[in-house]
Amino acid sequence: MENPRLGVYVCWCGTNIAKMVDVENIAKEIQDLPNVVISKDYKYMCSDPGQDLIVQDIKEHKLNRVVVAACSPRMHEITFRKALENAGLNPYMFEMANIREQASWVHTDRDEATRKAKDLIAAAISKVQWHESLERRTVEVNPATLIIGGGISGISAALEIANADKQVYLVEKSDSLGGHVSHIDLTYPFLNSARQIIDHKVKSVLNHQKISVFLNTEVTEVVGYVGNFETIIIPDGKETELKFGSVIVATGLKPYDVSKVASYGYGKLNNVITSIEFEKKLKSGTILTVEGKEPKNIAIIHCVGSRNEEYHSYCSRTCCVTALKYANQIRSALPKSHIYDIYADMMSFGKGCEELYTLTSRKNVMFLSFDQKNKLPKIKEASLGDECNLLIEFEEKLSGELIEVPADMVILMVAMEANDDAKEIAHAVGISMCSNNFYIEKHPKLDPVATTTDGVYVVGTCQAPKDIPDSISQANAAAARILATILAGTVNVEVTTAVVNEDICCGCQTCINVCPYTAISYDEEKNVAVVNEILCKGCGTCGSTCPTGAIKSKHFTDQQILSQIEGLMSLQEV
Amino acid sequence: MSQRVNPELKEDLLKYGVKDWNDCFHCGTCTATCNLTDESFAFPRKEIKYLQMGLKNKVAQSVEPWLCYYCGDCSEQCLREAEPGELMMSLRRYLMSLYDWTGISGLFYRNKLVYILSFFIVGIAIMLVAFSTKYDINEWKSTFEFGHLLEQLFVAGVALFIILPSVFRMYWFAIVKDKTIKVSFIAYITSLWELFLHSVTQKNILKCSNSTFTWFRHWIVAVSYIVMLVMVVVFDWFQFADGSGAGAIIGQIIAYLVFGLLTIFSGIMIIKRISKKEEQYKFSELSDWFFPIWLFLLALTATLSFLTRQLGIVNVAQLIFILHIIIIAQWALLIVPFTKWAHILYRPFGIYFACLKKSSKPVK
Repeated sequence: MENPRLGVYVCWCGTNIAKMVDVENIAKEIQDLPNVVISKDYKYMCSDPGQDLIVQDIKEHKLNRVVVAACSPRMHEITFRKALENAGLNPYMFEMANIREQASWVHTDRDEATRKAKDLIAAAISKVQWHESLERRTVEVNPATLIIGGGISGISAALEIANADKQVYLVEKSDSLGGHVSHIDLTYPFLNSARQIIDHKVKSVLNHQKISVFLNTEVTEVVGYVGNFETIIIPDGKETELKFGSVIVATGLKPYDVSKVASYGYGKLNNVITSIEFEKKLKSGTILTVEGKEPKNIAIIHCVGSRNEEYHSYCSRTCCVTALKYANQIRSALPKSHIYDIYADMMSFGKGCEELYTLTSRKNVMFLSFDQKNKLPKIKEASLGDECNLLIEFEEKLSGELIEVPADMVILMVAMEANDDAKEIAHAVGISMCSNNFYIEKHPKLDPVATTTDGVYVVGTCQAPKDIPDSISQANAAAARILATILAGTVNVEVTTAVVNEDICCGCQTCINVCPYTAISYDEEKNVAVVNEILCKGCGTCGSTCPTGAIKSKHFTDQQILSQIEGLMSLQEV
Repeated sequence: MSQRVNPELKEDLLKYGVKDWNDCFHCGTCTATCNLTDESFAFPRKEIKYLQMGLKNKVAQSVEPWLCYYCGDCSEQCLREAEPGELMMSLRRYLMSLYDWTGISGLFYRNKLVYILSFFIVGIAIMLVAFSTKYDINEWKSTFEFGHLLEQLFVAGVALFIILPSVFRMYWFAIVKDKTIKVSFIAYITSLWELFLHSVTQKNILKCSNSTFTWFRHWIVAVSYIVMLVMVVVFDWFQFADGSGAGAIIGQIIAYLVFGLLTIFSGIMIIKRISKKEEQYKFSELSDWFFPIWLFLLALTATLSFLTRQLGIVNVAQLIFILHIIIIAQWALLIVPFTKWAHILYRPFGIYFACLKKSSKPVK
């Protein structure tokens, strides 16, 4: 093995790291460690000049190993690996020490944070000396795409991909395409007909030669890896095998069960209806109470099930502007009616939405604010003399007055929540969920459509509540990503996989049982375990379970990990 | 007890010149920018909310409109151009109509035609009276005597039957009907000083930004007006036009000073309203025009009548005086009891009642 020549770079991350970790001092002290040729600190290592610094030093000082102490490798490992590649080094001769998430962000004592950062860097320096060159592997990409969910997001992605002449399998659980949008009367903020948006798209999907639609069908398990996935679906009782290179999850969400919000009396009080039910009334063209009368007083209550720890703490994103839309539609349909918009906070951001709020506020709508956290309004049946069906009582937040709002009809702006089967779908395609059961994107800002599973994308409201334009944007973005992969024809796959030393393997098959990716099989003839390198994600479970030490995880060998631990302990003060 | 909201109050209030307050989304900039607000009286924002909700009782109970001097800062700063300053102005009109037991005030504000017609009617009535009395029209002195009598009648009648009940009703709404407070007897006494201080100085205007000249102008008009009222109604000051002794000359100087100042400063008020440059003069309801114009005419006819009488042009003096009496009648019978004039009382009483509210114990 050549003599290791290390370059170590300590990142400030602006003030993110520098304010809690003494980066300049660390860079100086690290210089003295064995094999460290050069040690520097810099404001933003991930920036172009930061990367250039590495490239130049590799060339100038003939470095053959690089350590960057910065943020999480999840964030920038690939960035720096590319820098190494640009300088002619094997990208795996690199190790990252996470001194942001693991040091500066989580500590309040600068000295301790600095000491910990130093230890982490020492560990990385120690480990990287044992790194070996690994060769990139690529696999062919199957140009077909599986889309789960036939709502506006799934349909949009499907059309985008199919219009590029690539095969799409669109699987929908229900018996029709269109999802929630097909139940909407008008869309906000411009009050256009939803039917015009969705009908045309559904028709195009159904008539598209490149889209195979499977209704009343569910996806239970997807196997494979990026570029080469497989699943078995059972449309109309017929088992069908599908092969595809990418997956889009567009399973949407569902309305919250508002009967759980006791103070609104949904299900018990007549004329307290959900926004979904009101949308149906709008679509049918008549707004009537249960008694068949035109309502004189209509109240709209926001945040039903949203933004309250007891129900869902998040904002359901679309209800405020939908409520404004209702107010406008009611004003047109019943010009003489009294409209009360009872809100917690008016969240009308987005193109044209704040304008809709302003417009609505000029249409004689009474806006009343309530305390969503502690004092929800209470709806009760009105008495005979009240001249209305219901009374809503609450403390108006902006005046502090206890008020009573007469209503003949109350519309509850229903919260949106993840589908009941969100977990099953997540398991089927191998993606993760947040605490609210919405799917987690790869990076909330840098990569909001991909997931941590290569080749699987999440679009639309299964990722978080969102409106139609945002759903379609995300769908089209995912489609573009997939088309780019298809165009490239091949895709890089994980090289840090497990390898079996057949001489030592005793064929006990322990590893086969623990592998979460079913990547290991048993060769009966040789009596050894065999790793399918394409399915293997290099998680290391098999390696740590193997009783004989026959399985080695590339890039995480015993030697590398032990020396990493050694490095971690080396600077400990006695 | 919860209060029922009322979306229909708006329709009523629009007639008092209220702009569409629904533009307000309660950012609170108006209250933050106002130098006259404090924790107890957070206007204009809270007043707007009462209006938006149609809580008529809360509006009737509030004294906040009388604490505002309409410097216009709030309207200038308003992000939504909801004109909070003008809204406070309209609220003052609305409150006046609530305080007036006859209902005439509200009628005048809501119906401009009735308001204008009543000016004609009063004018014609005075003319008829002036030309058909036992006083000899050819005897100019008797006209002056008769006019003086009329003035005293108007002032006494209006004060007794309209102004006093109105102030009492204001007290009734602001203090008695406000069930959230309980005012101690001592507070009534100790707060009297504030009533006096603000009646005399109107010093709260100075808290408004760039208001030194505004305050000075307002104070001069108020003081000259009060002095003129006392001079003319109580003392029959026009007599001084005839004399030539030292006392008469002092009387003449005072007359010209007071009449002149009032003419000039009410003239400035009219010009400011015409130019619309300042925030508080941007919007003018009919009553906002009548007030400075009639004040100007009042002072001008007094000056001219006094001057001509002094110069011995008694026929002209007599005619101008009849005109003066007509204007006084319109002023005293229409403007004073029912529209803008009454702020001269409501403002200091507003401050007095605000002191009472502040010093009171809140009732749960």
